This record gives sequence, C-alpha cells and structure tokens, in this order.
Amino acid sequence: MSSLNRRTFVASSALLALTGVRSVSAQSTPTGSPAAERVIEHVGGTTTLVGDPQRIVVLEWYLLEQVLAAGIQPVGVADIDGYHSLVKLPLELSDQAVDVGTRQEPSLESIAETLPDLILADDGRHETIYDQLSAIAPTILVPFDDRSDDVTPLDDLHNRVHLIGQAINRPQATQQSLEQMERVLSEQSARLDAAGLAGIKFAIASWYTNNTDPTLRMFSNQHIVGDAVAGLGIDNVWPDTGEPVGFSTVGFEGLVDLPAETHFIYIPTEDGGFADLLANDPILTSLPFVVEGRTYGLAHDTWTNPGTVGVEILVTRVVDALTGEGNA
Amino acid sequence: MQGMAPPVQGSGRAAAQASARATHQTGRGLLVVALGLIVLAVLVVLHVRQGMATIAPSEIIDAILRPDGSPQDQVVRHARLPRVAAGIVAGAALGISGVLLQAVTRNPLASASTVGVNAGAYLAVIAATLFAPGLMLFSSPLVAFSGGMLAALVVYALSAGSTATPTRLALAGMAITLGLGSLSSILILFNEYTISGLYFWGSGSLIQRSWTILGDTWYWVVLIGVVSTFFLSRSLDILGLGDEIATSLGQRVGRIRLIATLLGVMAAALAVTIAGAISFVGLISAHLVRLAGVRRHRLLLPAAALWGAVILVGADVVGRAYAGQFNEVPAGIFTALVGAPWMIWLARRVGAMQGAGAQPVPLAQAARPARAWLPWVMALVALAVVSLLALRFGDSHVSWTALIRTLTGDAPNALIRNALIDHRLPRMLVAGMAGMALAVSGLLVQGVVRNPLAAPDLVGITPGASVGAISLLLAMPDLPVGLLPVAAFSGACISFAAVYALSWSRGLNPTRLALVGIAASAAAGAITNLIIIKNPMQLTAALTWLSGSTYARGWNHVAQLAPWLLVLVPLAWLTGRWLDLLALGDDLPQSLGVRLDRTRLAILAIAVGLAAAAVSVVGAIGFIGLLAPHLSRLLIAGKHRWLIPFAALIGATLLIGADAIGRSLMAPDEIPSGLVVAALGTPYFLWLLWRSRSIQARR
Repeated sequence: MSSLNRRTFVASSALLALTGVRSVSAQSTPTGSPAAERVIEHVGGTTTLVGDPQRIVVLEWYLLEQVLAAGIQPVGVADIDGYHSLVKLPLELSDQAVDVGTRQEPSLESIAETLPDLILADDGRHETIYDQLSAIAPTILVPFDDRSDDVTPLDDLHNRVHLIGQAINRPQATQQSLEQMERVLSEQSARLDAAGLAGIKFAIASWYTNNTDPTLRMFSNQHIVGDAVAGLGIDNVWPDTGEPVGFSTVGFEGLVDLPAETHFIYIPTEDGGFADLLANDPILTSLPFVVEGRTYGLAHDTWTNPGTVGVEILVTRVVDALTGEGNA
Repeated sequence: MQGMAPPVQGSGRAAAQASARATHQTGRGLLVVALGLIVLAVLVVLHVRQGMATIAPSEIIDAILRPDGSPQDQVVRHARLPRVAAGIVAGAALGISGVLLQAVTRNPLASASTVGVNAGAYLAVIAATLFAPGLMLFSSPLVAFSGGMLAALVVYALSAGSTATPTRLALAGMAITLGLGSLSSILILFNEYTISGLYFWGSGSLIQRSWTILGDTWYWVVLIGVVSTFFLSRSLDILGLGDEIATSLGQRVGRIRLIATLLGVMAAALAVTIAGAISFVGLISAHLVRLAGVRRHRLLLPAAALWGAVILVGADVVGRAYAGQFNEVPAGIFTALVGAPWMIWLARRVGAMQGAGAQPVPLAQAARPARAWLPWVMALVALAVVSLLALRFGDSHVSWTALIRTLTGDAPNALIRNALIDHRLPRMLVAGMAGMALAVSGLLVQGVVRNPLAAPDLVGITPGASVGAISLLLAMPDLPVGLLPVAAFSGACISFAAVYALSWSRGLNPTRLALVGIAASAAAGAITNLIIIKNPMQLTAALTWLSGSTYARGWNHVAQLAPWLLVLVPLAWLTGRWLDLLALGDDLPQSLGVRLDRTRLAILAIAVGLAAAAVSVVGAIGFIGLLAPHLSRLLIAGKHRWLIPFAALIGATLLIGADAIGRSLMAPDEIPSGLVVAALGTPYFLWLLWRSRSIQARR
C-alpha cells in the first residue's frame, strides 16, 4: 500500500503541475519578466497580478516557509517572534522584515505602512478581513487544505505551494521546493530499505502537557505529519478517526490496542517529561513496544505543521531515529 | 428551603406526630441513599467498560483481582479505575460543597461554579503555567486549589456574605467569572501554541494520569464530609430557620457560617483540583435529594455527596458515549448541558417563592447635583477627547497636525489618509455605536429585571449570539463568512426568545428571568465549548470572537450598525417613562394603568434588538451593558429620559477608549477591545459591589 501511495503521489504531482490548480491561467512566464500578467483565482476571488512582486507581506507561518524556500525575503511578516521561537527551520528571515502583528489579527496599518504589492493570507484566519487587505494590496487567500475527503495532506501541500508560486511569480522555484522534498523522501525511504525497515508499522504522536492530563496527539494519514512519514514506505497504524484536524487527542489508554510490533515515534516537549513517563508510567511501561525498546524520540522542536522544508527535516529525523544513525 | 422546625412544646399527640415525621424522613433518606448506591454501582460498571482499549468485562475483573502486568490490566488499574474514582470523589466533594454553601447563604442557587471557584482555578493554572512553571511542576493541584479558594472567598465577601439574596450571589459570581475569564482569554490568545491544551482542562475533565492526585485529596473530601455531617448538621438545620431564631436558640451564627463556608469552598476547590472546572453538580445533587424529601443535614450531606457522584459519573458516561471511541469530550460540558434545564426548573420555583414584589436596589445613587449640567458637559468632553485620542494614537504614527489636516480634507499623504479614514475612523464609529447600543440595552434590561446587576448577557442575548457565530465560524466553515452577523443576530434572538418563554409563567417575574438567563448562558457556553473542542486548531479565531473585538471594522460595518441605532435608540428613549414606573414595583404601575407584561416585552424587544445588532458586529462584548448604566447612575440622578442618553455617551466613550487602548498598547499586536473592557471593568465593578454591600446593610 505504501509504495503505491508514493507512486500515485509522484504521478499526481506531475499531473497537477502541468494542468495547474484552481484554473490558474496559463499565462505565467519565467521569472523576471516584468510585463507578465497573471490572473489567479483563489478562495477570495480573482486577482490580477503584474510582474514580480517586490514587497510581499506574509500573514501565516506555513506561507512564510514556502516564500523563504523560494528564495524571497518578505517585507512584512505576522508574529516574527513566534516564528523564531516555535518554527525551527533552516530558513533565514531577514532582520529587515517588519512585524505586522498577530497572525489572527494583523495590524492593517502596519501592513499598509510596508507599502506591499502582494499580501499572502490564510483562508482560515483572514477570510473576514479579505476586503480590507485587498484595499491595501492585491491579496491571495490561500486555503490550507481542501476539505474534501480524497485529497491527501501531501496533495494539499502541493496545491498550496503551487498557488504560492503563481502568486510570487516563482513557479519554478516552488516546483523545485517540491521536487527537493520528493528527493529527500526517496533518499530517506531508501535508507530505511537499506536498514531492513521497509514496510514496518509505526505510529507518530506529539506529546503536550495538558495540565495533569496525559494527552498525546496521534497523527493519522489525514495529517501531513502522518502522511509524510507514511510516504517513506512504512505503515501508519493509527486510523483515520474522522477528526477534521487529522489527529486524535488520546490518553495512554489509546496506545493499548496498537499492534505489538509498532514502532512508536514521538515528539516530546522541551522539559523531557515524556521520557520520564516512558520509564515510569505503569501503563506505558507495560506496552510491548515500550518494553522492547521500539520508541523513538525526535527533537522537541520538530515542527508539526511542516511545508516542504519542514517535511524534509521531519522525515530525516524520523529515519535517523528509526535506524539509530545520523546526528539526531 | 428550611429545615423542619422542632416543636418546642406540645401535647403528646403533637410529639407523636413529630416523631412519626422524623421516622418517615429517615426512611425516605435511607431510601434515597440506597437508590443512589444502586444507580452508582450501575454507572460505575458502565464507566469502567468505556474506553479506547478493547477490554472485555471478564478481563476487567481479572485486572482488579489477579493483575498480571499486561497493558490491559495496567489500563484498568491506572487509567479507568482512577477515572471513575475521580468522578466519585469529585462528585461527592461538589455535592457536599453545594449543600454547605446553600445552607450558609440560605440560597438555593449557591454552588461551586456560581461562586467563581472554577474561574479562579482556571486563571491560576494558566498564569502559573506561563509565568511560574516551576510552581506547576512542584504541585499543580495546589495552584488550582489556591486559585479556586481565593476567587470564591472574594465573591462571598463582595456579595455581602450571608445577607446576599439568591440573585445577588449568582450575579456577583458571574461577574467574577467574566472578569477572571477575560484575563484567562488574554493569556491564551497571546500564547496560543503553548497553552491551548489548557482549554480542555478548563471545561472539566476526569482523565487521570495516575492515582497521585486522588491519593492526595480523597481523604480531605472524606474529612470534610465527616466533619460537616457529624458536627455541623444540627447547627446548619437551625441556621436554616433564620439568623434571629438561631441566635435565640444559642447558636454562634457567625462562627458556624464561617466554618461552613470554609469547608464548602475547600470541598469545591478540591473538586476542581481533581477534575477541572465542572459546573452544576452541587446544585443538582442537593436539590435532587431535597426533592425526595430529605431535609435534615445529617442525611442531606451524605445523600448529596452520593448523588453528586452519581451525576458526575453519569455525565462522563454520557459524554464518552457521545464522543465515540477515539475522542475525549470534557465531562464538564455535559454537566452544564444537563444542569441548565435543571437550573431553569429550579429558577421557576425560586422566582415564585421570592415573589414579584421585589424592590429594586440601585447600587448607588448620586445626590441631586447642584449644577446639573456639569456631568453632561464632562461626558461630552470625555467622548470628544477619547475620540480624538483614538484617531491620533495607533500603530502608525500620525501627528496632531496631520490628523487635523486629514480631517479637513488635506491629508499629507496617502498612507496617513488611509490609516485615518479607512481604518481608525470607521473603527471608532463602530466602537462608539456598539458601545452606545450596549449601554442603552443594559439600562433597559436593568429596568425590566429590576436588578442593578443585570446586563444583556444575562437574558441570553450574548451567549446565544456566540453559539450562532461559533457554529458558523468553526462547524460550518464552508458557509460565506459574510453570514456571520446574521448567524450571531439569529442566535441572539432565538436565545432570548427561549429565555423569555421559559421564564414566563402567569406573567413575567424579573428575578426568574435573570436566573433562567444564567442557566441559558451556561448551556450556550457548554455548546460553544463543545464546538471549539471539536475544532482545536481554530481556538484563536473562536476566542477572538467570544472576547469581542473592533478589529478591522470598516465602513460597511458602520452601515450595518447605524440603522439599528437610528431607529431603536429614540424608541428606547420613549420608553423612559415606563421604565421609571416599572422601577416603583409591580403594584403601582398596574394601578396607574400600565400593562406590565406587554410593556416589559416591548422594552426587552428593543433591548434585544440593540444588543443583538451590536454583538453581531463586534462579537461578544460583555461588561459595557453592566458598567455604563451604573456609571450613569453614579454621575447623574434622574429619570430614564436623562439616564438613557447619558448612558449612551458613557458606553460610547468606554468602547472607543477600549478600542484605542487595545490596538495601541502592544502595537502591532492587538488586544481585543472586549477583553480590555472586561479587564479594566472588573476592578471597577468589584468596587461598586463592595460599596453597595454597605449601602444595603444600612437600609
């Protein structure tokens, strides 16, 4: 099942790249051609963009990741402090970028002051202010995901990246980000094969303290974390439970029905509390995969809402942990 | 809710009757207890069988009797049993707490959640997680406990302790809950990633990691139960007869009240420590047992403890059945959904007992000022100044000269013009209009409910709007967001209609309306929480709407709001005469030919229209409807025809000011104006409450 998934992904991504998403007009030209006009249809409406945007304002971190990966520095970003402290990616944000406020309610005055020629906004958060944003500069409202059932998270990522590429007039750079991610997925998958770990069962969870409640977020393949790791050719045993967010919040009891041969991958919090629990908690220490040492902790700052760069880091860390190699 | 009066003297027949009654009651009490034990046993069995892991009943028994270290056994012993035990212990603690607090305040509506324990614990846990994580690691239960205790004691003190009427205590508790809740919201909004998980706990959760917390708390609960049953019961029975009778019978009233309060609040805080913020359990269990005929505290306390456990475990069973196998839904949501109808039923009975002739007690009243024009001038000046400041200050820098030039049509540059005309001016107008609408609406509602602590939130307007808006935003995101005001408005009207209908019983009793409104608020809050928990990634969007915000309100919002004000505010002003008459009680207006019910309905309809219009544009802003009327009454004495415009001025000034502060204080980050108003309003409101306590005592 897993290799079929990957083949499908590669084929569909190529197909989508050719046909375009959401009927983007086929007039996009190579980068640097100033007279190029492109019409983009998106959730907020239809926006016409001319030439290379020079001053981009980005209002969400997943949008920022792709813009930086395409080699462009924005002039304004929402919640820069949060980005630096929570989203640990090897993508440098220039000191010149202006903080324009919180992601949920960015300051319209600050955005206007940066004199932008393009605003990238998130459909979920900014639909209500789309009109105000459009009055300042052409605004593209990017949907995080397509809410229909048969679009996988990796497909959603592809769609987003494609749309962003059209908006910033760097379709080739963004396509390269996707291809780079695909390459890393193949490489890491090959590493797993070489270590004899192809097709193993796994579960991936992030641990966060919920006061005193034991809560794990178990990622199914409806979340990009689960989907990306499953793209390595291994088998996610956590089922799709119908949660719109793609993960289930469970106590330790939720782990009991996992198959004994599961490889349990987790992203802990910084204080190391989960490692303590793995050693001492009565339920956890009775689980077969804990007893037999099949638990693998990733670095605590592994970002759980990754784009192309984040996925590369995630799968590399996962394979490092599973094979015991690398500098994880 | 009085205890049985012991016959002081009487014939042998009377004595025989009395002892027959006593036996009858003991019989009933034992029946209640026996029934409770049976139901609890059944629920425990159901509860232990629920859970994500597939464990057969025989395996469960094996796990208890012959554990062999398998994961299933460990789950039963370390997850399921602690969870059901938490339900039993916390439920019992809540039951005991309910009875004690009700006895002390002689107030059938007193319980843990209505005295602010939950809000206090929640804020303490959030604040400690953010600012003193070491404290949380050391003893997170202690943090929850202290927070809960502090808040409850503040509420108790502010509502004048034992002289509190039922409504006053409930409203004071609600005010503290709102105020502390706004602080919690601010902290969550600015630390979305780190502490969004606490939102779950804040709705009450029986999940236990181990036996640790239970191990530290269960014996305290038992101790409190034992002490109150064996040493306080008789005193509490006599206390129920009234302070004077009790004193004449030799009871040290003050001391008993203090001890009982401390024990009650402690039990409530213990419950929060174990299970998070759960509401209504104490309320329901105490009344359930009283309904069965048990009156004396010696039986009432243990029975209420037992039935509290039944209710909480039962709510968890229902909640988990609803949530399905792979999800967790906080038990607190279901206790609210079950408890609200119960409280409405209770409110109908309480209102009847209180009688419709309750005189209004204004919190404070200004003496007739010698220069009656001074407050008006000051109010107008304040409004003008605040408006100018709101335009001048903000994220971008705009100097005074630039401001004046732009307003006169000669803007220095496009950016400044854009900032002022496109962003700040419409925001200021929306804030002003919404503030006006909420203030006038509050004044009208207070006039009808005849209680100075009433507000539009109280009669179900804001909570209903919240359900409508959050449903649209989170549960139905595919619908166009332009429908948001419509959803909020409809929610508000439907909710008010329900509250009105439910509190109507051979006429409208203002007290009953208030109490039903509180219950409806709780139910609406539970529904809203449920939607939010199912959509955790949109917590921030939901919290922002629920806090109330003037962010990004533009000229289209001005156009949406203006017609409502233009029509309804003059209408409200016209009702001024009726409001004056209503303030005199029920009999006088009727004798003057006022048709009470119709008048009240008309006034409330105007109030609902104003508040719903405001809330549908700016979200769930509370406090202005509560504050502005009081500020007005403090500053000018007089009839409603003067109060209404004055309150409008005050309301507008307050919200414009909150808007300006919210977007300037931490620019470019924005603090929702509703939170600014609540955070600044709470201290003032507490001060008002404190003052009114002494006024009431002097009457």
